[in-house]
Amino acid sequence: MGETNGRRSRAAIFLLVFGCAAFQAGIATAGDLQEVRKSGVLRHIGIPYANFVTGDGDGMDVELMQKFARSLGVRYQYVKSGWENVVENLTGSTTKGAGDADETVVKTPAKGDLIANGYTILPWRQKVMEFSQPTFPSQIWLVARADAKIRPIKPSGQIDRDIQQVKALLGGRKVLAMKKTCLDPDLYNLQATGADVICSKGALNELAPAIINGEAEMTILDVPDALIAMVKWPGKIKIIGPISHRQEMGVAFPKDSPELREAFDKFLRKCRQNGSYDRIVKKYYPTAFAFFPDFFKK
Amino acid sequence: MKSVQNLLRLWSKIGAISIGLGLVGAIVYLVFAQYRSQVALQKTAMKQVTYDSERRASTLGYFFSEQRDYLTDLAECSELTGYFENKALGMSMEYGLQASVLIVTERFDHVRQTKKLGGLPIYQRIAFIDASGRLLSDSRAPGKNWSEEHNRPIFASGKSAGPAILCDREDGELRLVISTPRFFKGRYVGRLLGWVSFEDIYRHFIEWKSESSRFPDVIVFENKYLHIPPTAKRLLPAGSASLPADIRPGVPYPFRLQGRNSFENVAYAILVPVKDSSFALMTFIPPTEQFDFRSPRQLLYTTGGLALFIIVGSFLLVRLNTRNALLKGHLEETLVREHAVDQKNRELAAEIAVRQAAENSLQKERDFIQSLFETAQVIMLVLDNQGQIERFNPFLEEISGHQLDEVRGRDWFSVFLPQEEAERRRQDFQATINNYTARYTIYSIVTRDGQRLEIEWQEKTLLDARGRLVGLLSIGQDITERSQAEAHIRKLSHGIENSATAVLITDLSGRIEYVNAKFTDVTGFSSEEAIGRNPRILQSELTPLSVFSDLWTTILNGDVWRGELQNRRKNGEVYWSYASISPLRDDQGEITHFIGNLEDINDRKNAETTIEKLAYYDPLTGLPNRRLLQDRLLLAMKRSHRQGSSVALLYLDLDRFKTINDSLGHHAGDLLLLQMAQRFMGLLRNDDIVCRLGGDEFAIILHDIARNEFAAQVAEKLIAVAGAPVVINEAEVVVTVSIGIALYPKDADDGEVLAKHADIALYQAKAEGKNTYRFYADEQNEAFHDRLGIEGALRHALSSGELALHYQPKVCLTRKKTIGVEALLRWNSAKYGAMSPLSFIQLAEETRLIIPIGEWVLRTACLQQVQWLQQGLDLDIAVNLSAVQFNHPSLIEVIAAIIAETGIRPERLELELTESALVGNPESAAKILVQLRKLGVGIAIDDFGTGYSSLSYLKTFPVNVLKIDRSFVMDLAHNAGDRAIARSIVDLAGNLGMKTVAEGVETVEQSDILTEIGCDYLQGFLYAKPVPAAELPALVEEIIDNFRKPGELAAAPSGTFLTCGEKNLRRENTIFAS
Repeated sequence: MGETNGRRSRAAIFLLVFGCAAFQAGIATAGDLQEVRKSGVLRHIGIPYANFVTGDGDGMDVELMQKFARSLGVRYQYVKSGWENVVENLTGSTTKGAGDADETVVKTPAKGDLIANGYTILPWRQKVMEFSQPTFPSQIWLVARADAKIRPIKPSGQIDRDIQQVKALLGGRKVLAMKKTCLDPDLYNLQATGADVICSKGALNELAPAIINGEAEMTILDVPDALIAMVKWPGKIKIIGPISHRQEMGVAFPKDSPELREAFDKFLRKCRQNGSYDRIVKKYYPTAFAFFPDFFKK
Repeated sequence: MKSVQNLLRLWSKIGAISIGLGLVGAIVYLVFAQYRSQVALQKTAMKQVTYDSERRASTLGYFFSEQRDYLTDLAECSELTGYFENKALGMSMEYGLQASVLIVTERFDHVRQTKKLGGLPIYQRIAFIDASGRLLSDSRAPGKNWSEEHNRPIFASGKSAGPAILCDREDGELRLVISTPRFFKGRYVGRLLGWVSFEDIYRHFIEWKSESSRFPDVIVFENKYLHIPPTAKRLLPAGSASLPADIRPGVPYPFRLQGRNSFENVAYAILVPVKDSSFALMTFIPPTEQFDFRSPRQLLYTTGGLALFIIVGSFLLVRLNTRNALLKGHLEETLVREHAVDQKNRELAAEIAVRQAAENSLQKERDFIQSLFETAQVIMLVLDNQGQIERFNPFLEEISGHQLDEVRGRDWFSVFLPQEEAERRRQDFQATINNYTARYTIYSIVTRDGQRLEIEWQEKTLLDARGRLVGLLSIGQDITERSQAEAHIRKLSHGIENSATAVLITDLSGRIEYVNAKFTDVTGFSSEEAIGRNPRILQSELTPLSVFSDLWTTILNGDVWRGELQNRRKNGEVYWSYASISPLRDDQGEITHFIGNLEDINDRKNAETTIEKLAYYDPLTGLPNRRLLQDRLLLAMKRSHRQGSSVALLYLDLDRFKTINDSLGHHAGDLLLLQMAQRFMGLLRNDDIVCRLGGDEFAIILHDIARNEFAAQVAEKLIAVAGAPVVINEAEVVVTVSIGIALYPKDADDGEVLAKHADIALYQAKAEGKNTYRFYADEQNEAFHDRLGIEGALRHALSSGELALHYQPKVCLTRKKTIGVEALLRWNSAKYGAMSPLSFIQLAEETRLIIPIGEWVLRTACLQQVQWLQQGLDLDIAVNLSAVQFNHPSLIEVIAAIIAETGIRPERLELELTESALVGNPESAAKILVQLRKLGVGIAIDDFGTGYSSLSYLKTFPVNVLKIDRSFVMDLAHNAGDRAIARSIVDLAGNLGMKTVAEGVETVEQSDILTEIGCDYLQGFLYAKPVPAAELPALVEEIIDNFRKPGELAAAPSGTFLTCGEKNLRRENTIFAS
């Protein structure tokens, strides 16, 4: 009787709560498709970031990976990581350096099978990992506190000229950035602008609050994160202009997991065809379709 | 008469006229009454129509007001505010502002889709026009033909004016537009417009009325234009798009209809304005329902004429009166109905309002449920009462791959369930349906691609409004992962609970949350006692604090710590455990708990300690053994190397220990070793090391030897303490010790070589008389190697025929004949030449080569005796038996076999044993002797009087002969003591029924004395030296001949010339021959 009541209670709860918890287990090495199927678990390495991985157990990439795991017939497992060691957690190698000058120095156990958290496809990352077909578009913007003296640029209609305009404004100003991420100042040659670049040790999600709290006047942000910040803190920040050309995000795989990557690309194509990908994007980035119409058109 | 008749006629006329006038008056009255009645009826009908129209106009007015307010609020939404704030910050449309616009449009889209009336969206379009009339944000209903926006009047209209209800004509379609201004920081920034179709207005507010009346209301806009709905177009004449100029609100206005006969071609219209707008409703009263608003007057005229006609036909008066009565009744009834209709209208209005509210609420519910149905991350499934699929939500489509359109109407169980489960689940479904119940269940479904998903279902029967069963609603959650996880957890839990090792789980602060059964077994703490407490309850305080420090550092870093801990059980007992402690992490990777596995390794540790002790320590003395000596020696050498000092390695061997061990027993030997060990240790410095190498061998490491003399001094002290008497079993025993000393680094820089050199030095000390010490010298090494060479040669001596037996006669003076011979071993080595028995017999014993050699000696001697016997030479033959042979377990079998093999008569064989071979373990020796005696052989005790003779044992030994040692015989002529001993031995033997043989008789004096004291037989060079077997018969003859010659006894027989070397050899033979 108690058992029945317990089950009924559970049933009542799941009617109210949509979603389910995934069981986590121990981790040893990254694996290609066969190893993933054999182990019965897909280990998704993620870092809480924007609405890709919210840190509350959901997010666009979390749902996408859960769906991918289900399509493979395996259990889903989330592996929390950080920007400092995310590549190491995937490849089993510690990399050192910045920009495009990385070198492998230490071998360590891999903790997951793929990285997905709005992970920008950058040249240095492509040297040590393989990327899926793009999953989301992006760009890097310069964002300032609303009361900052710096004024947004007037768009010229040419991206290169707009970038020049923005960089010309940076001299002598404090700008937040973050190493090892898509906001790595070396990727955009920020030092050459004369900006006082401050590399944050926190999370990417903390950059916008940091400028609002006065820790710096400006920060660079990627577009998805900037859009979230505009909604979260209306009137507190302003977009100055672009720092980079258009970028794309994707899912990263170890170099020795070609079958897993192919399986994901196939899965992604299917999701985009049957509309389930659009449903997930719309849930977490409702404006993305209008903002990036060329990327999302079928 | 005539006048009467005239009068009568007159009265008749007067009467008729009166009647006629009365009738006319009555008719007039009745007509007037009917006129009044009709006027009242007209007023009632008008009131009802006007009331209905006003109510609709009021509802429409309320709708306008509500939507104005709603759009005014929407214009103030945070999204628009955000846009204007961002714009004010100077953000460009390309970089940021566009996102704000998209966010605004997203909001408008949401409103357009969700703001509904009667289940349908109210707004076809919501847009924001900026202050310059440009379209900023626009949400449009799909499927509508929206013209290109360019200079639309509606965009320019209003400007900063207040909210307004306007009309917008686009692509020929007229729409109602609700417009509201937006101000930002006090400045007009644009207008929000919401488009509503007239169709929807008619549908929601007008058409429900027109269904019954066939005459719908017409909406008047901008106070002058008629919007004629399609349903009214067929009635109203073409061109009637404008409101008649003379129409007045509330006043019936005749309106000529299209295509009707003259009787029905006019309808009256009532105009009712919509409050606070330029709109009005025009309601039509159809001909069939209207009272002709001109008829009362016409009726008055016509009925007046008719009255005359009625006068003529007065008979109709009654009927007229009757009709009047009926009309009056009808009028009253109409009044009542008017009142009732009025009341009902009020009730209806109230009910409509309630229904409207209910409908709105219901619609919200429907919208919510629809939204829930479409977005829920659980399965929602509706089956009809036959189990066929009616609908399910997109989530099931997503996880199953089945599209609803493809499977709608198909059997749920056939399509979605595994074949083997379908029938059973169908029966369950039928039972649920039949019993009108709700139930909880779990069963699996199969996806389109064959994957099986386990689903947790909550099912409930669906009933329609009349309570009839229409199907089943199922809510399902995919628990495939959870089930797998639960199964996994169950396995893990079972594994942990039944683990062979103790398991405990603590929270981050170390508070115990779980222990398994093995934990209780090992520690004695029950789970109730352990949970909530800290693992410190197990601490023994014997584990170093640094271990715990390392443990916490490791596990807080997220790594696994493994190591050995000394814990304490509940009963206080300390035990060893091997602990493996690892952190547990949650989904976010944060450490939440620690799990510890504690393996009880107490037995193993004890065993290790025991094994270590056995492996490295001597169990008798507790001193380090040979293995540990090597380690300690290496350490000492390293230390010495660092300090530039020397190390002395001393090898000690107790002299005569073997004799003591043999004569007093092993226990006494052990006590002696213990005493020696204690004496040695008492003499040395703390860091010097004493080891027992085995048997009676010890080794000592002396550290930091500054000078060699120090080692010599220590050796002298060791010799001194060893030589002090030891009391064992109430007997005083004296032993000496020989010591060999090797020095590091002088003699060797390698531990093994150093040990070998110490051993060589020891050998040298022993060779040089024992009870002394010797330093290692290179020449000793050569001697040692010589010994090794001899040992190697001896191993091959037997097989290569280098061994031989010589025989020395024993004579009986009284019988004047040779009664027997003693077999003596000789080795003529091909490599070393003739070897002294002294040089190889002991070696043979030490290497136990004496066993095969002794067997060969015995066999050869027996064969020889038999051979001599066959030659007519009847001699007893004595063979020496070493202690090693005597204690060999197969001794009896070997001798019996040789006797049988050679055919010797056992009584002719005599085995000579030394005292030391017998007294070590008298009981055992007695048993062996008894067995030998049973074989029939004789037993002689060799060298009698030199050992620790025990007379009490002697009487129990079945001994035949005592051989008086040559040391007593040698000085017999000059030493009264020796003579007394010899005599005592002879007397003792005589008393015990034994014979005596004197060894080493070399002179006539010795012979005479021995004869005089009664010794039975004599053996020595005086009579014959040992000779090869072939020479013996002649020698025996010669001895007999000598006996036959009177006075020749003192003369040595031929071939018995004694040299000094032979004397020694003779003595050695006696000592070592075996």
